[in-house]
Amino acid sequence: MPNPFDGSCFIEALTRHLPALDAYCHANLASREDAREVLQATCVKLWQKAADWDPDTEFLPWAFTVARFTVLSHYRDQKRDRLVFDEDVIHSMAEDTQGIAIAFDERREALARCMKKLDQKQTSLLHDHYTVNQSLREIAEASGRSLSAVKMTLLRIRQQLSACIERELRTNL
Amino acid sequence: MEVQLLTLLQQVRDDGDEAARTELNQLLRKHPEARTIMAKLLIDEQALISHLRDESIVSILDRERDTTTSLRPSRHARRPLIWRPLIAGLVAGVLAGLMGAGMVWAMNSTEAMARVFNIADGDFESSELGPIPNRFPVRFGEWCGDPAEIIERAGGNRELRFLETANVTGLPNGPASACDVFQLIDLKSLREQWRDMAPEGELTLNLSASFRRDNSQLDLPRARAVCRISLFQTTPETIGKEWPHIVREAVAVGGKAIRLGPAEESPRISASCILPPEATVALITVSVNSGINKNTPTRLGGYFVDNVRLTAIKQPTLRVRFVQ
Repeated sequence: MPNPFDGSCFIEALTRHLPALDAYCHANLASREDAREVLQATCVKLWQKAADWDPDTEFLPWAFTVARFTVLSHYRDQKRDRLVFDEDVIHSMAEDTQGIAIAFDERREALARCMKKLDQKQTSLLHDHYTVNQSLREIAEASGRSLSAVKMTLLRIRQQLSACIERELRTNL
Repeated sequence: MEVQLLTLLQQVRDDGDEAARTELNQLLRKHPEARTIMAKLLIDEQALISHLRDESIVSILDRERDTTTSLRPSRHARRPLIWRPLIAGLVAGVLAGLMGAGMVWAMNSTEAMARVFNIADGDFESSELGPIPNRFPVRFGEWCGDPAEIIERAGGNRELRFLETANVTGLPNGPASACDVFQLIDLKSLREQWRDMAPEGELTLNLSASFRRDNSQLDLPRARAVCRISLFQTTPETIGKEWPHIVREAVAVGGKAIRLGPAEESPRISASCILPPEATVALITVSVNSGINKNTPTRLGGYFVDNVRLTAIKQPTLRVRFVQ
């Protein structure tokens, strides 16, 4: 006899894993707006299919599968040139994306430790770009720096953070 | 590979560059390692966005708590200075009250404002690593002066390191007790920026910079950090040719010096002066002064400066109304 659908168990799993699911959508689309749209559609589909999920199995692999189909459906709905990756590239990246997104919580904790190593100027640039959503051109104009200098600084910070996250993950294995 | 992927991604997202998009997709098709790196970069980017968003919420909550429990001002540095007239009015009100003169109202003017003006590479992030030109600047927007170099710290932040005291002009009796680094600023361009948004009112220029002393260098001589702004009615070339004697011809000068001892934290100091209408060029100087005027240079090495910023502040005349 199939298990009766446990709504509270599903909501708990969805809430707990929502950040990883968000990261998965972001990694497939490389765009905040598209990822937000796809995440929303994925949550609706997950809720509709909630009864299919067995609470004794991992939630994330199942949710990623639903999200992947939603990403592809979104891809086909959009004009090709609006998106960063081609459809075949999304397919070929799927395995890597899923494998890394599963460890999203660990990566986020590592990132939080790495952020403490940045100085005020670097944090402020990240805040303006990723939280306030200022374009690099707007940041350059406001700070009186050249666009290429701002791009270069952001690139360096991202590299620095990537290297630091990998170091932190190795140390905490 | 990571740099190439990040650069291409930036070009696709920020500039909508179709060629970069094609190249990025080709790279991801051909190289499995590129796919792993890209997946990590994007997952980490989402982690970054999520972290910054959480930090931002915490900071808003902190600020709200501060506002409800005290009258401390906001920590935002760049904003219209609308509080100044109010404070001036309150102070005047208290004084007038003490003297029994009556009540004073400060008219809150939203015209008072501050604006950060462009200093070319004031944070040294886009400068090449290595020594800066060892001469006096002859055009706008270049850092030049006594022996100093751009270095990159472990965290990736770049700053200017003062190497040794010198006399940049090479004049026999020129000042040699300090390591001076200069930049010339075009005031015409600054005025143009302000003309449209604030046609009236007096402009004050405020130069500020963050200095740092490497306290791990035990043999570092004691020195003063100096920040100076001098305004001239001349051309950049003339200032270079006639330095340092032209100092006497400055139409306005502002300066600030503090001692940087082993126990000092990294201080930010600032110097201000009013911008007279005839001034055409500003010479900004950041320096470390050993106070020892001798022929052999004093090695400084462990003194640094970063975040040099010029802020123009417009202060309208405070309108104060007396009510008996």
